Amino acid sequence: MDGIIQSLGVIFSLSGIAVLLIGALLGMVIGALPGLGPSIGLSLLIPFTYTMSPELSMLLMISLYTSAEYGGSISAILLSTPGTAAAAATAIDGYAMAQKGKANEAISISLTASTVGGVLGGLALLLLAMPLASLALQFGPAGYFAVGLFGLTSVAALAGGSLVKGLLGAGLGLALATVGIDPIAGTPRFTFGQFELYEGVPFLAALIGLFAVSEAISLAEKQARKKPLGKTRVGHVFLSLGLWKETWRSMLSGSVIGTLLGILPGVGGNIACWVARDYARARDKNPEEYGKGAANGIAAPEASNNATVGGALVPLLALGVPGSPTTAIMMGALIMHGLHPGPQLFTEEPTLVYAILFGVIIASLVQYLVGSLFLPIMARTVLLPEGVIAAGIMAFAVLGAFAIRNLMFDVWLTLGFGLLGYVMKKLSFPVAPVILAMVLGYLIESNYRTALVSSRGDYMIFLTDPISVLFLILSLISIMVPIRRAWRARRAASHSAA
Amino acid sequence: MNARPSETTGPRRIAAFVRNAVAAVCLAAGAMALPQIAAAEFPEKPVTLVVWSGAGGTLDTYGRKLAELLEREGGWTVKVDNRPGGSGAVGLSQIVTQPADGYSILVLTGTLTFGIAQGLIPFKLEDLRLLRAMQSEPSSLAVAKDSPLQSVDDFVAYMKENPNGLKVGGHSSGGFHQYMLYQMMQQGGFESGWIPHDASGKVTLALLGDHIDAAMMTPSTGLSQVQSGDFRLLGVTTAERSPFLPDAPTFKEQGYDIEGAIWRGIAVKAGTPDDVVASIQTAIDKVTASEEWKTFQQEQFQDSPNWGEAEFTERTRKDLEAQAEFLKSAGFLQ
Amino acid sequence: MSGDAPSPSQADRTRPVSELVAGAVCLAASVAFLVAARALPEGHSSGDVGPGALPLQIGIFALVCSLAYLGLTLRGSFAAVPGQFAQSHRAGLALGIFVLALVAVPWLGLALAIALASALTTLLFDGPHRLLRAVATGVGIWLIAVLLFQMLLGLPMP
Repeated sequence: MDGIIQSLGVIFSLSGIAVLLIGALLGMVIGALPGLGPSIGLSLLIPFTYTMSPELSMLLMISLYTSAEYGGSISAILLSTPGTAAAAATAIDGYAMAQKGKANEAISISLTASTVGGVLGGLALLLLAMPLASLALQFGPAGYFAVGLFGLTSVAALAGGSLVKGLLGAGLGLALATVGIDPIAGTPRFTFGQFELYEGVPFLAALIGLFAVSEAISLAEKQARKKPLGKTRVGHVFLSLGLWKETWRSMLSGSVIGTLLGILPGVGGNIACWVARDYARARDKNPEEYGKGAANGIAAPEASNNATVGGALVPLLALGVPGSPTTAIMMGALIMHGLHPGPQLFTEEPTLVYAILFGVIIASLVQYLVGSLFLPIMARTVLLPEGVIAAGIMAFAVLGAFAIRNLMFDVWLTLGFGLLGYVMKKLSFPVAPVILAMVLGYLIESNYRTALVSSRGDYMIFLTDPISVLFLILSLISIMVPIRRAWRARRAASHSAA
Repeated sequence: MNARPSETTGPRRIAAFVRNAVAAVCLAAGAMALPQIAAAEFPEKPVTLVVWSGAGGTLDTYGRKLAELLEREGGWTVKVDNRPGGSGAVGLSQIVTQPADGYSILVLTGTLTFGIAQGLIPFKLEDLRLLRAMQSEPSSLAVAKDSPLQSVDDFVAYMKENPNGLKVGGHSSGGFHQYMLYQMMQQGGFESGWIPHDASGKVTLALLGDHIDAAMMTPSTGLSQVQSGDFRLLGVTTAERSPFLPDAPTFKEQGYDIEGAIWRGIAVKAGTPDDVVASIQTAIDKVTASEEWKTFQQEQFQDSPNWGEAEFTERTRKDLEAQAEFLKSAGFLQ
Repeated sequence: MSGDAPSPSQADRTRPVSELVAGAVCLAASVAFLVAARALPEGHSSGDVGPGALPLQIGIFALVCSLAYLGLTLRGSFAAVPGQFAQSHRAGLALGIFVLALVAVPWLGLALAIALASALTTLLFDGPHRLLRAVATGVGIWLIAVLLFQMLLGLPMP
C-alpha cells in the first residue's frame, strides 16, 4: 500500500509530470518520423536516464514508448507515411479518410482510440499481470505458429479490389521474410553474399519504401493529391458523440486483442493492429467501407496498437523477461540502475513497480493531453504546398531508412521498395499484404520448424497443443466467413437477376 | 614517434593548451607535423566505440559504461556508435575500413569466433588486434523446479538411457550454448537434439512453460527464476563456483571438463601501432581499477576475465578451431 | 479467386498491356524463386523440414497466383487504364534526383545531399515562388537533418 501511495507521489511530483510531458512530446515527434519508432527513441534516451532515479527514468521511457507507438499514426493519416510498423494498418483507412477532407476526424479517432487502448492495456497490466503472464507461458512454438497463421488470414481483408493481387503481395512478403540466416539451420538464404541481409530484409526499409517513398514520387507525378486538402479544417481533436457511438466497440475489441497479443514476445503490436482491424471488419455491417476511410478501420488498430504497451510489460514485470525490443531496452535501463526485473521486484521495489503500473495508464492520458494541444499544429503540415510535402517525405524517408542501422545499404533498399510500391499502386496492387506477410513470415516459419524439431518431426504437435488448435480453428473461421459472405451475396444477386 | 615526450610529463591542462596551440599553428601553416604530435599522447581527438549490436542490449550496456568510464577515468572524449547487422560483420567492416590509428575501437562479443567459423563474418581473426576481454558470462544446464533431475550425472544418465528423451534448447542455432551441450554430449556419450530460440528471454519462457525440459542458458537471463528457485542449475561452465551463484555446482566439480564463457571485449584494427595500443591498455586499466566498474560488474552479474592481448588472442584462436570442429560435426558446415 | 472479377460488360475490350507485363514479371519471379529455393541445402536437425521447405511452398503458391493473375487478365477481368504510365517520367525524375544525391553522399555528406535533392524535387511542382520555395525547403531539410538527426538523435551521418 505504501508503494502505491509513494509511486503516485512520484508520478504527480513536479519532476514526474515534467518527464511524462517531455516523453510524450518527444515520443510523438519520433513516432511520426518514418523509421524512428519506440525502440530507437528509447535507445536514444538511455544515456539521459542514467542520472535519474529509476522511477523517473521508467516514467520517461514509458511515456515515450506510449506516445511513439501512437505518433506513427499521425504521419500515417496525414501523409500516408506510417512512422512505425504498427501504424501501417492505420494508414489504410486513415489516409483514405483524410483524402476525403476529414483529416481532423481521422486524427481525433486515432488519438482517442490510442488513449482508450493505452488505458485499458495499462489497467490489464495493473490488475491481471500474473494471470496474463501464465497465459503467455502456455504458448509454445506450435501456438506461436498458429497465431502467426491466424494473423496471415487477414490478408484477404486487405486485398481490396482483387484477391489475386492481394495474394501475390502476400507471396512477395513471405518470400522477403525468408531472406537472411535460416532460423534453425543457420545457413544464409537469398542474401547474395551481402552480410547486410543476414538479419533479413529490414522490415522498416520495406515499410518506408512501399508507403512513404512511393507516395512521394506519386505526388511528383500527379502534382496534386486526389482531392485538394486546402479546405481541410484543422480544429480541436475531441471525438464527437456520433463517432464515439460508431467506434466504441472496435476500440474495446481492439484493446482486448492488443493486450492479449502484446503479452506474446515477438508478436506484439506488429500483428495486433491487423488482427484487430480484421476482427472489426468481420463484425461490421459495412465491411466494404474498409480501405475507403472507415472510422472503425482507424479505431480498432489504433486501440490495439497502444494496448500492446501494457501487454508487452507483462512478461517483463511478472517474469523478468522482455517481451519486445522496446521492453528489452527498458530492462537494460533498470539493470543499469542495479535492478533486476521480475516478480521479486514487487516486494523489493514496490514504489518502482507501481510507478510503472500506474505510469502506463497515466502516460496514455498525458499522451491525450499533449496530442490534443499538439496535433492541430502538426496537422497543418498537410496545408503545405504539394512540392514541399513530396520533398519532405523523401528526405525523411532517406533519413529514417539510414537511422534503421546507420547503413547506406538500407537507404538504397528503401528507394528500391519505393519504386516497387509506386508500380504496385499504379497497377492497383495493395501494399499492406506485403507488409503483413513480411512481419508474419518469420514468426510462422521459425515457430513451425521449432515445433517440428521439438516433436522430432511429428506433425501431431499442432493438434495436441490446445493453443495451437484454438488458433487453427480461428484461422479457419476467418477464412470461411468472407467466403460464405461472398457466396451468399452471389446467390442473392443471381436470385434477383432471375 | 617519441618526438615530444616532454609533453606527457607536464600538467595536463598546459600540455593540452600547448598541443592545441601547436596544432592550430600547424593547421594554419599547412605543416605536415601533425601525425607526430598525435602520437605523443593518444587520444588527440574523440574516440569512437563501435558497438556491433543495437542499442539497449547487454553488449551496448557494457559499451556505454566503458565509454562513460573512459571519459571519466581516462580523460578521453568518447562517442558510442551502434552498428548492428550481419552477425557483427557490419560493425567489423566499419572498423577495418577506418585507418588503423586506434580511434575506432570495436566493442564485440565471443560470437565472433562462431561467426567466422560458420563463414558468416567474412573476416579473419588476423584482421583485428584483440585488446582486452572485460566481461564474461558462462552457460549453465538449467531445469525447472519440478524436474526429477538433480545433477549433471542424472541428466547424462537419463539421456543415455533415452536418447533424445529430453527436449533441450537454448539461445541461437549453432552458437555458444549449443556448443556447450555438444561438449557435454561428447564427454557423456549421449545423443541430444537442440531446439533453438531466437532470443534468450524466450528460452526462459519456454522452460517456465514446460515447452522444453532442459535449457543451456546464461544464468543471468533467468536470474529471477534462478533466485526464486523456479529454475535449478545442474551445472555451470565456470572453472570455479561463481560468487554470484554460490549454490550452483560447476561442471568441473561434477567430473566434466567443460569450461567456457561468452566474453565481451574490445578490439582495434590489425596494424594499429604498439604505442597507441599501450595508451588504450593504460586507459582500460584505469577503468577496470575503478570502484564504479567493479560495482557495475557486480550489478550486471558479470565475471571479469580481464585477459590482456596475448591471452585473449590465444584463447580466441583456440576457440575458433574447436568451434569449427563442433559446427562441422553438428551439420552446420559441410 | 474468381469472385472479384467485375462484370465483363464493364471491362475494356483492349488488352491491358501493363497488367500482362506485370503478370509475366510475377510468373518469372516466382519461377526464379522456386529454382533458388530448390538450391537451398537440407536441414540437419532431426525433424527439421529444412531451409528450403517454406521458400519452395511460397514459390509454388506465387506460381499458382501468377498463373491465375495472367488468366484473369486474359479473360478481361482488369480494364486497361489509358495513359496509365504517361506521366511516369515525373515520378522517375523525383526518384532519380534522390538516387543521384545518394551517389554524391561521399562528397557532399548525407545532410547536404538530401537538402539539395529536396530543393530540386520541389522544382518539379508548379506553383508560385518556385525558387523561393526550393531554397526554403532545402534549408529547412538541412537544418532538420543536422539539428534533429545529427545533433539531437546522434545519427552518425556519412
